Amino acid sequence: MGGIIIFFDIMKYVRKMIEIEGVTFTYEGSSKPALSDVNLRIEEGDFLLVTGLSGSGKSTLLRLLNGLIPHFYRGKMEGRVLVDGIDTREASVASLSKKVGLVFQNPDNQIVTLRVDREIAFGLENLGFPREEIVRRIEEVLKKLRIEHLRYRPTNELSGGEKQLVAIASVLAMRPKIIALDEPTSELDPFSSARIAYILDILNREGITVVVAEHKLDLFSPFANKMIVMANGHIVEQGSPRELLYKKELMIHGVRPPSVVKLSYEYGVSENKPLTLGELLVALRGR
Amino acid sequence: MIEIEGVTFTYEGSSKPALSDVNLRIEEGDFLLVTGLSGSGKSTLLRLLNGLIPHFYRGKMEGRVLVDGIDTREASVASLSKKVGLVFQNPEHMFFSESVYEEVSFGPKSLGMSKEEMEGAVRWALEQVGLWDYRMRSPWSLSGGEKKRLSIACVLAMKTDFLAVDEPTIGQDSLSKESLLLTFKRLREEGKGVVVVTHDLEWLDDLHPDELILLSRGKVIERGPSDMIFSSVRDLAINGLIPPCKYILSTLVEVK
Amino acid sequence: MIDPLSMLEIFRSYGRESTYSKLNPVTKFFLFVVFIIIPLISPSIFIQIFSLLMQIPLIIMSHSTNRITRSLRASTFFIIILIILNYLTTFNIIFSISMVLRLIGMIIASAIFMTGTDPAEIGDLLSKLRIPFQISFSFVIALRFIPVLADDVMMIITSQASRGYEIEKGGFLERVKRMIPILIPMIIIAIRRGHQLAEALETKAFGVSDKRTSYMRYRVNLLDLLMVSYGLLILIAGLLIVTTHLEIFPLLQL
Repeated sequence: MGGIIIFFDIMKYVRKMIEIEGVTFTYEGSSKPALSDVNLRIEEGDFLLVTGLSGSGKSTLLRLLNGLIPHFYRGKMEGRVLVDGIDTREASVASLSKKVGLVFQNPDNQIVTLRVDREIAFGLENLGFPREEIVRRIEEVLKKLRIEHLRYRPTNELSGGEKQLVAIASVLAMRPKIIALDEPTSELDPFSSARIAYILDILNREGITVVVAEHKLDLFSPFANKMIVMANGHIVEQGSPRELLYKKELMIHGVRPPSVVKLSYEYGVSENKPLTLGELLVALRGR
Repeated sequence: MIEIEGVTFTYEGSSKPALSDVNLRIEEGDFLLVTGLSGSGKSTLLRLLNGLIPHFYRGKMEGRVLVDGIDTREASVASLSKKVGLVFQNPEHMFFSESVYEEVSFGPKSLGMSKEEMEGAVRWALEQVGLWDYRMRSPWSLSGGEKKRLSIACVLAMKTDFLAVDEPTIGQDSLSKESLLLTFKRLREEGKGVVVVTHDLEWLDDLHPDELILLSRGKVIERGPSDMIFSSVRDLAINGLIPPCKYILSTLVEVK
Repeated sequence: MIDPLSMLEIFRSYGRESTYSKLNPVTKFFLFVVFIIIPLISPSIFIQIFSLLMQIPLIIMSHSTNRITRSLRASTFFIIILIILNYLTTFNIIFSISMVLRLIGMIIASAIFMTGTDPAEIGDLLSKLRIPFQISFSFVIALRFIPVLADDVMMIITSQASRGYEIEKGGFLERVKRMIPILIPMIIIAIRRGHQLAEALETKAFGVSDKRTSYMRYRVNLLDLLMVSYGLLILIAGLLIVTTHLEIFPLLQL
């Protein structure tokens, strides 16, 4: 019996991907901390949805994950962040990039080469991977994201949605265990946004841990197993999306529930807590 | 009144027209919403309204656009901007002043308004978007949502008969979308001719528009009361747009 | 009229694939250099005609007639001025024509190279010429961001024009002053883009290892060998013409 308990204890330890312990961070030149006393645990296989108003600290939180804070951004940091057991202060952003891939909001500012396949190769070239391996990985990620047809296209001619998919591909090529995305769909139309959400779901099912900061709760909450709400640099709510989105307190933090939630209140089926139209339909039929 | 008559426009270097055979009439007091995916021609349509096309964008244009009876090809953008105000997607493309107040007075100054008239217009515009208290702050110190509203105020202060706004909700959080909703509702009550271009149908539905135009690949494919267009869920889905939840739900319930 | 779109013209030039575009970039660069050197080794009209004729196979291989006619048409004014100036200074019509042919030959050589070479290949070429990666990469980044920034400029200009602003008004000094509402947003946006770019490069492990590998591989095909030999032949022939044949045509020697 004891052996099994120890085994589970070890498993729990192994599955912990990221631990943020009491982090407070103030950007240089700013008087107010961007994050204050943040504690968060992300486990392997999680799909974490981070929401909250603009300026609530979402981007800062994501920059902690791959060491951009404190290595790239100067400021005052308290507490620590462990990625796979390694303190981010002691590892370089380059070595962390093999564990955590970060995708930014504006795809135009993160694509650095002129052709899609070269873009995907770029990070691998920097890390000194042999050519054969790079080619293999390019083919792998293009297939994974269903964008094989874009392989030789000039990056300047892609649409916004395609650019964002290429940005995701170039990060995935480094085979990170975690992919973190900062408002990846904020500048995309509904069709491209849905495509990104769908791809993230597929990646998550394949075992990649996904962290996504987003306002579009309709789109992402059905896929997430965990959700946090941020306000003024604090994590103010934490739980499953189903639990949180039906909490009235959400409104205080400026977060508006998605329309399915509004509709389920309207039709009086809120106790079933549906998150998708399908679930709402089932709830209505069961009434 | 703005009349778009049979306009087909192809950007230089492009093989496909961005707009083809578009006919549209916008009158003062109209509240018109235009929707469609990226690349459907929404932004091109806006650029027609104050003569940016054909004066700034090179390409081949057929048909004509009349603003109060004046052909836009024959008038300058500066003179047309007295009648039609255009608000672009990214507010940061316009800010250059030290204070919010100065920023908003730039438009009226360019149009040659008198000092008293300008002061009144700036105050009115800032009050419309709820930023009067921020007038001494730097435009760059504002949050994303406030910047968006400031960019609307900059154009409002020009006291144009028409206001056209490109994708107001893009990149905005839920609180900011709510204040934008408020701003537009207020403008509608003012009786200004407003054209809003957006692909955020959920937000758009809250505006209760009287009329909606659906653009796809440069063509107006549907036009009518928003209820009617939203109810044709399939047509929207074919064009890659997601109708507001309640319309999908009612369609699904009907099918069942 | 300020027209950032015309800045893009050079990047649009890389058109469709052709026999020429598939050559190794080093071969293309070598041919380009040959046809820049040949017209320069002698002002003789004979060598200029030779250089023009020898470029015909390259024009055919690269399908660049359109681009060449466009480039030539764009420089018509310059060419005419050149003829007149040369004639006025030397009173030698053959010399003047020869100078113009030299210019045309060089324009054609550049047009062929630009139509048939992907800008990214130029970046690779620079690193092949042992130019440090940081420098060749700056070139690629510039090519990547010029269209993005040109787009920004266009959006800024149209934004301000829609606020009733007339940029092109008044005399020279007035016009410079009137650029301020365009310049300030442009600078701020460019700085912001630069910052985000640096952040993205950091996450992509840019510059961490000296042992940077290269994904692109260019083969040396039979055609490359043939074209390099062709270039060498022309170079030798050109030198021979200059040293020997010019005495046979003393009238043309200038």
